[in-house]
Amino acid sequence: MIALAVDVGGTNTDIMLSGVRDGVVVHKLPTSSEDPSAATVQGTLQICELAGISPSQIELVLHGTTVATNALLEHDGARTGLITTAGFRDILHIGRHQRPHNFSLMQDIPFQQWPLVARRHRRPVRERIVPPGEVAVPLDEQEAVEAIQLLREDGVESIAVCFLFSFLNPRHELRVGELIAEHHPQAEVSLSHRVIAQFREFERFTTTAANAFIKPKVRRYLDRLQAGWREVGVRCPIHIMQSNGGVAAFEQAAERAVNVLLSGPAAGVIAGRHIGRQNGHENLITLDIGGTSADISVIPGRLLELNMQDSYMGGYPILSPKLDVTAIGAGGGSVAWVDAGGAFNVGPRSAGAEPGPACYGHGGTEPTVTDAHVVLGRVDPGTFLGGRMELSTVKAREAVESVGAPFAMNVEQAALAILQIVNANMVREIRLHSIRRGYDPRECALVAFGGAGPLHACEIAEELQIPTILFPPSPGITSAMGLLATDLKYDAVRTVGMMLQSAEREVLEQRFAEMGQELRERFAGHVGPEPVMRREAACRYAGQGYELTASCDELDEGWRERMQESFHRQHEHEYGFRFPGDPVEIISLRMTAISEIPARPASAESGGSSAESGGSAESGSGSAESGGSSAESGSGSAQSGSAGAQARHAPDPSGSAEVVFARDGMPERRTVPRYDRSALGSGAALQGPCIVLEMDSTLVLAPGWSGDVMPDGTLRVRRDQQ
Amino acid sequence: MSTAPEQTVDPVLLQIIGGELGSIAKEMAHQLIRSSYSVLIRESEDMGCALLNTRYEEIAESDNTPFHVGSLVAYTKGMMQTVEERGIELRPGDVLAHNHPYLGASHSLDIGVIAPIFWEGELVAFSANTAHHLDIGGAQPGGTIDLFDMYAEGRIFNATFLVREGQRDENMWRFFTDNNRAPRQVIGDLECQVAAARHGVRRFEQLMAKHGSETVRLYSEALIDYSERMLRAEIEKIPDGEYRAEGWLDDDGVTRDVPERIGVKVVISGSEVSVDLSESPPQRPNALNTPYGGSTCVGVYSLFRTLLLDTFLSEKYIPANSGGFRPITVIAPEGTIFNPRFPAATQIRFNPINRVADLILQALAPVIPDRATAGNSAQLNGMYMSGVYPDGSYWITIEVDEGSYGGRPGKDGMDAVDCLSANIRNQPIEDIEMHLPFRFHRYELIEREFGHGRWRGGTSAVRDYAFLTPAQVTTESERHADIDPPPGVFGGTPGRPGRFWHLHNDGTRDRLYSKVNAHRFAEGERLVIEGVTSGGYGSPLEREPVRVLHDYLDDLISSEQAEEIYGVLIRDGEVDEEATRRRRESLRAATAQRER
Repeated sequence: MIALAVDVGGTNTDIMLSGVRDGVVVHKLPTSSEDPSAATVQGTLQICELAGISPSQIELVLHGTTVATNALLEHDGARTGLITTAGFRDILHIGRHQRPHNFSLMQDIPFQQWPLVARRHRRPVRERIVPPGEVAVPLDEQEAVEAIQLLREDGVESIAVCFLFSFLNPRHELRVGELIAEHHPQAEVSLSHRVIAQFREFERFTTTAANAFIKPKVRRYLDRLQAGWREVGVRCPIHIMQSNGGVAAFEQAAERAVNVLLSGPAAGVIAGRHIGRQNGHENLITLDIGGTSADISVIPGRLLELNMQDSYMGGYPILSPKLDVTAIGAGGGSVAWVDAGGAFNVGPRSAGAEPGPACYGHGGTEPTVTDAHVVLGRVDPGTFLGGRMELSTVKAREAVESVGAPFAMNVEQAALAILQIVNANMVREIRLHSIRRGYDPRECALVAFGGAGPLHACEIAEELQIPTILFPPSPGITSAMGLLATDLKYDAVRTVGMMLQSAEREVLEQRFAEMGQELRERFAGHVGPEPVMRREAACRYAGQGYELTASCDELDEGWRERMQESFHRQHEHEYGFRFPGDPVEIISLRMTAISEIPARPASAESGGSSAESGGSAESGSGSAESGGSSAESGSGSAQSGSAGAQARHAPDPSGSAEVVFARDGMPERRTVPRYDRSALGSGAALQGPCIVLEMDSTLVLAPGWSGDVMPDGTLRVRRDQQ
Repeated sequence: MSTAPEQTVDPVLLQIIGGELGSIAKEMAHQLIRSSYSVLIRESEDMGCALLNTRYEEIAESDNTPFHVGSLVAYTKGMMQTVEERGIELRPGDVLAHNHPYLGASHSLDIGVIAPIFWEGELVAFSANTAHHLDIGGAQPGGTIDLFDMYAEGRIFNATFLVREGQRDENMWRFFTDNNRAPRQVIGDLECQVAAARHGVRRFEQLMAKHGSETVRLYSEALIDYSERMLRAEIEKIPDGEYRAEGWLDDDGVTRDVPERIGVKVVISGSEVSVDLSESPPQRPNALNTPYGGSTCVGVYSLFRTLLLDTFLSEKYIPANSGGFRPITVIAPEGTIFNPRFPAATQIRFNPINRVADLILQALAPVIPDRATAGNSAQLNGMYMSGVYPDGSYWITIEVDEGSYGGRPGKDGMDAVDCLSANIRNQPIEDIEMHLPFRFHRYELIEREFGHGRWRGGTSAVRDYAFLTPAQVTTESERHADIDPPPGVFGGTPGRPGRFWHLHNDGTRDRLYSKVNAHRFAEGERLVIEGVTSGGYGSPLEREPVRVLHDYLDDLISSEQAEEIYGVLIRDGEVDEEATRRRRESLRAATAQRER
């Protein structure tokens, strides 16, 4: 299958084409901030030309976008209205009546400072549902119609309908949805029980309002993009990456825009898992380090999701299923600084792209992580970004020296200190997400990507005693590769709130049947294998406030005991103890439908052993760069050719480099071999210390690490036995 | 005090160990919040976790609720006083409970759970946490105002073993279970606290195993010194001098409608600050007193951290540890409400000290106008509620209801949030109604009645619900009397006092005092809580007309208010610029006239 993956980031648009003659073709061009769809369509034409195919031959498009994210974070969405239960006009404004900062008088409360719905557009309507779903006050339809008309007159183009307890009985929300269709047919509608049928009104209302807020913009973007693709001949289905790690069909993504808020980081996780699996590793830690932040995720044999109650974006709670990826302010641009109390800090602030690290010579004088790499000889000033940007070693040294001076450190000591501190921040975050949750990093492989991931991986793995590191080829576009490894995936949730002891199987089955029906409808028109349904129950000990997930697959003989035990076990895993005799409450049910997409890069199915072309990533250098500086192409990597794995061999270095490593805490300069990654074929064996250069990244193989290039182009390294 | 970094300390290791210590405290807190039962722990995070050294100084703290900043210092110190007096030998694997208000506890409802940490047989540190419990078997369910003395508050633990060398003291657990109205939840929470304390022990041991106990000790000291330096540097920016402010409490909860005065004197001298509370009311004959070590000092520390190390304004996180307390002295004579004499009851202790925090702000406002706010609500509404289901079983819950913040330089005040030392989360209505006999009628912003100004005061919320079983309510509140609403500053107008209403089934209503003990509601009767709104900052005539327009369109102010208070005339949903200019001129002239 010929599949096109397009990952639009803030800076670059990464494009991959799989299933073509050369296996996988990669391409990269700058994102246009005015119209991200333009670069996407342009890039599609370019990559098709590189691969020698016509756009009409593409059979599936997979797309990751930050349009939804930007609309929310930049407060640039639609004029949105809210119709809500009378007496509860300000749930969106009061929130949980807690300040984000404990210790601050001058803070902003994001949902008060930038309301998703202005108070004048929050219209209360008489109605009330009470547990377990009875109508205590019937819907006042007259009032609802008046509210809709007022919103229409005010120019509101998207309406959220949020009634208390609608997750127990959606009748009133559905009716208001009909009334909107009748009285303001142009308006986008978001019903809270449809967006997420979860209890906790502030969180559900906000999620629904956020959906309403970003939906018109996301729909317009997708429509424009689809039209652009259609115009150049792309006729196949278009799927959009969601925060849950799966993709959604085009129309579904527009309708539930809130589900695509974290598509970028999710694609990185999926890519990490794919690379791990191709190389026989199921327990993984992914580390994606870019210019401003590092995304970290732990995959203990399965994808972990963030507890929805922990899920915030830009200060707004967003209840939508999302993979557990954490981002910390640690990247190439992170600034090193000394504060008034005399502490040496790195990040979280970043020098960004402008002025950027001091070594860029764009006027930045503050020392950054990238400057430290330059000082230590790890990043080569002459070959940065394939030589397109000359870095200044002098400026890097000046900047790094300045931060080391108060501590009487020389420039190399200070550079090492910067790296140690930024690495320690990442190590701590990985610990928090692995060891604290009962997953042992020593049983995992680290998948390192992003432009800066391969620079830091060895030292981080060392600290965490991670035995294996996987370096995928073209680490700068790994997230795009994740798109090719996704499944179609939808979730449905129902809050039920019943004690496990007295819960009736029939009732649970009925809820699951409803969700199954809803999910199947969302698969309408999808060509592919019948979706696999997964069922879960979110439970807690009666009286607790946070739920944990228990499996709930078959409700046959003994299901209560099994579910109870599953919950106890989960509680013990998460918190270290259980309350054996305490009653368990089922708070909500969740169903996930997954249908595989046959778009994986060819090597995936065969475990990387046979003669598939492996990630013989084709460089489109010549033609893709024709746009001068505007287009940078992915450089070739892992040219394993079609002959598959080759015998283990020691490759010839392309040169050498002077690199500083820490030895007993002191800097030690060593001359190490330098390799060009595009010249490393499958079977090439490397011994650290050495440097591997590629177009969008530099890889530092530290002393004590060695490994081989795998058939898929991944460099797999292991810590040497000591 | 040295202002340069310590030469012997490796700055890299300082970051690494500091980060680890901070994350241990956070991990303890996460575990406790997630697994606990009490709404005050799980939803409101009315709890704190810390690691302390053997001088009972905090090395790291979890930073959950401002009002627990540093309280574990007093708990641990008090507990160890008893341990030493009684000649108890602490051993590895011990876990103790402690809530004695005259030996460091914040109040008896907050039970401290403390585990000593040993290294090679030597006591090197403590892992501690404290959390607010639903019930400790006192005179009434939850909390009580009308208490004769400390003994009436409920069960008092004084360095009491819950676990001895890894073995649970089952007798103690059974005793507490038998003396509690909500044993399943309370015992569950205590279990969570023990688990969290042990987690801290384990993680601290790992840290010592990695870096060596001496290194961890040395760097812990360096971190405390560091936080101290950071705070001192900020105190030094305030001009030396003596600053005063005064405020009023509604009454002492016994003699109604007789306000009590609090005078606060703040003395800044170099990098030191002292807060003198000598002009405070005498201690009260009920539970409305504030324990000195665990609460009075804590409220003051918390305010200075908020004011001087505002985490919104600085990108740098200053580790929360005892270094932040060293430059601050709190003077409160024994026998006053801020330092009651044993055995006065102290269960309901929060509001007076939150008022003190705000008075410190008001006192300093003239010298730090770019940092200070107009008057804040500076109280909280703590509602201790309980009832009995038809089957005879208890329901007990505690709710903390919001206040607001005064207008700020460049910003309106925050609406409907907890104030200063309180920062607690409400419970979702959808959670409450699914689990407790409540029916909500309203939860909305208060319109029109808040401080006006160039930067308007935050408004608060009105919360209205019916009890579906007979219920009793004890209220912990302040600032319902008209004498002292949150003041406006620089020409802003004051906020509005709070109110509690009892709505009867026949449609009549009574206004309740801010502090009532075990007030009874019949089935179906309603409680209405109106929060305190805050003062405005600067003259309303200086407010941008478009902001006034938005407040009007948002139904926060009426068109009359727009015209009379703000001098803004609105026609057809737009500002009438010319009429507004004229109106503002004449209002200014009238003000000038009055002032002459």
